[in-house]
Amino acid sequence: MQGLFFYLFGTVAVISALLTITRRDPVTSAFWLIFCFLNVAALFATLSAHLIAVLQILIYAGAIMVFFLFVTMFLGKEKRSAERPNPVVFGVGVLTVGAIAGGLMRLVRSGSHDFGEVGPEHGTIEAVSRLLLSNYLFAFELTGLLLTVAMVGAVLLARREAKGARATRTPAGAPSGPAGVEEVADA
Amino acid sequence: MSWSDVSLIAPMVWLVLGGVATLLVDAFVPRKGQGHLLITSLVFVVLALASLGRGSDGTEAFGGALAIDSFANFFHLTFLVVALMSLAVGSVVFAREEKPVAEFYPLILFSTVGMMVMASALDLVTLFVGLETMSIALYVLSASQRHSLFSSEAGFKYLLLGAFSSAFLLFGISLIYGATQTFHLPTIFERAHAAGGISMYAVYMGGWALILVGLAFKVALVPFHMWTPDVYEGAPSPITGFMAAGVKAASFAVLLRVVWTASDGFFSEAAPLMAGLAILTMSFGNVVALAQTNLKRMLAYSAIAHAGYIFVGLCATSLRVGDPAAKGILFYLFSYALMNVGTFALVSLVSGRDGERCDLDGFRGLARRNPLVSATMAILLLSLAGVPPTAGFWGKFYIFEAAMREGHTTLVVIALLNSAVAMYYYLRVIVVMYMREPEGEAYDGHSPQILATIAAAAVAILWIGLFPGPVSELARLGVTALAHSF
Repeated sequence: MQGLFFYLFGTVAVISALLTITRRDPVTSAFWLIFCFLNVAALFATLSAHLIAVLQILIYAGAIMVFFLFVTMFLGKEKRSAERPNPVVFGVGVLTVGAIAGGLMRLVRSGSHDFGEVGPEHGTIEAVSRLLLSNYLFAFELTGLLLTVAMVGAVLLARREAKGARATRTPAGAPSGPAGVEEVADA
Repeated sequence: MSWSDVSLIAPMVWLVLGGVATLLVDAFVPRKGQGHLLITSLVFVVLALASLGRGSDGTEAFGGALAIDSFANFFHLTFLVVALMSLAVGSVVFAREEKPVAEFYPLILFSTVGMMVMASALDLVTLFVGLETMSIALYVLSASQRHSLFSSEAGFKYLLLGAFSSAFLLFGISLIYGATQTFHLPTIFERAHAAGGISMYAVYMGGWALILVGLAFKVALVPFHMWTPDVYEGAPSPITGFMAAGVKAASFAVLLRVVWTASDGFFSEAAPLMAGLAILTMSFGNVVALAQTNLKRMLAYSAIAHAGYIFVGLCATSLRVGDPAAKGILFYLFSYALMNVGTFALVSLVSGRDGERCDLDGFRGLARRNPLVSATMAILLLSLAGVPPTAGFWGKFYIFEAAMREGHTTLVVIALLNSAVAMYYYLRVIVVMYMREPEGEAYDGHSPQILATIAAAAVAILWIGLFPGPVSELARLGVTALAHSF
């Protein structure tokens, strides 16, 4: 049963990942990427990594993709990348992916790995939070500081655009930012 | 966790409190100018300095997340000195802006905490979060000069390439976890040396290689240096000094720990690769620096070259008590921090209000206008070049001598040739200052904070140059402590 779900979600994830990189329209790509993330989340869930499955949906399919779509639609879709990919880059990409995939296949087939068995409770929310608040307490608390830094930085940079929009005198030759951003700052 | 853990990391706690305090003071004390913010942040840095030196060799805090020992303390001292000087210089430079950036103070303090965590981190997760804390604050600070497109470009470039390098680091960390089932560096070391070693050897090696790439971005080794000149040039000078000194010291502290953890596996097999990186970095940095006319760009390429010299030390180091190459690296990083913050402070003093007059021409005839400032600059440059009665000489001496004893003769010869090449572009600045007629408007840098900072840096460099003993002893203790943590 688990095998069936694995192949189902795995196949769909790979197909939607391929569609993500082959669609011309960035918005279409983004939606395929969301679909890919959802399938990966389902894979996590079948591995009883509940917390990661939930985070995958909340953060990747939710927050990051909404942000991504917002920026894409906001900047306008007129600049679609119409040109074909550079064949050299394409070839190198295919070779690299092939090499990594081949290496992973060999590793799995050879059986010379000891990932170790984990119980069904291994990835539950309770197990992960226990780890976060014991072994990784310091890193967890430090993440709070990291978020504070990001917030202070965002305030600093965002306020700059707002000021640029209102300033009567902008330095010569230095536009204070893309016009669209200033409109938002004014609003 | 207990209170003893918290008291072990007292310096970091003081800095975090200081950052929050400056944010609150800025919000609730309506005053013109930034004197009150500078004083608030300096008070907390001094408190952190006063609470340094806790823990003894082998002390771990928070269940093995951090090591608080002489090694960590050596780097914590370095970072706090760098932060102290950068705050003093930055307070002047940022006050020149139309609307001063008050966030400068908390961001510098938080970034310093990130560096301190990196130097202390015993597990890879803590290491990563510390590195991001340091980096994100720096991305923002690089972009903080409102009117300058260069500054925005610097911030953006640094952010993108920094995120790129973080991805390498993170992937490497996950491979190492996959191969060893632990993040704790001493445990990884144990498992690698246990009977039978590591079964997924290829994954283990790949992990270290990716971690090396991630950190190589941060210290600007040559194939991974592309961001350095633009970011160093575009960022406000005090930030560049802070970044060049602090990020380099923190990343090399991590590299040293990583190289020792993986010493018998990856880094012994990859020795030719490491030597190649060192040679490439030194030579490229120095040769390109020769062609620069913008002082900040020249210093950026010289920073790349210095990363190469330090990497020579890393090639020669191996896990043992009192390893001379590692001691050299610590000494080098400390003296390099002093010279770099001092030099960039001077650049921001001379380059004037708009901060964009960093051309060599801006230094023409500086000796006529201000003999004291140009004498200080000369000392700093000679130290960067590694001329004998300065701290820079001893840093190079310790590293090259240790590498020589380990049999890396070719590397040392190339490093010495490079030092000779580097002499040219450092001396060129001195020639411009002393032997050219001044032209253009007189420089308007009369700032007591900056003058005090560069004077302190120059005196410290000469002092360490004449009496390298105390710092060298501290570095030796640090290396001993690092060996004990395995």
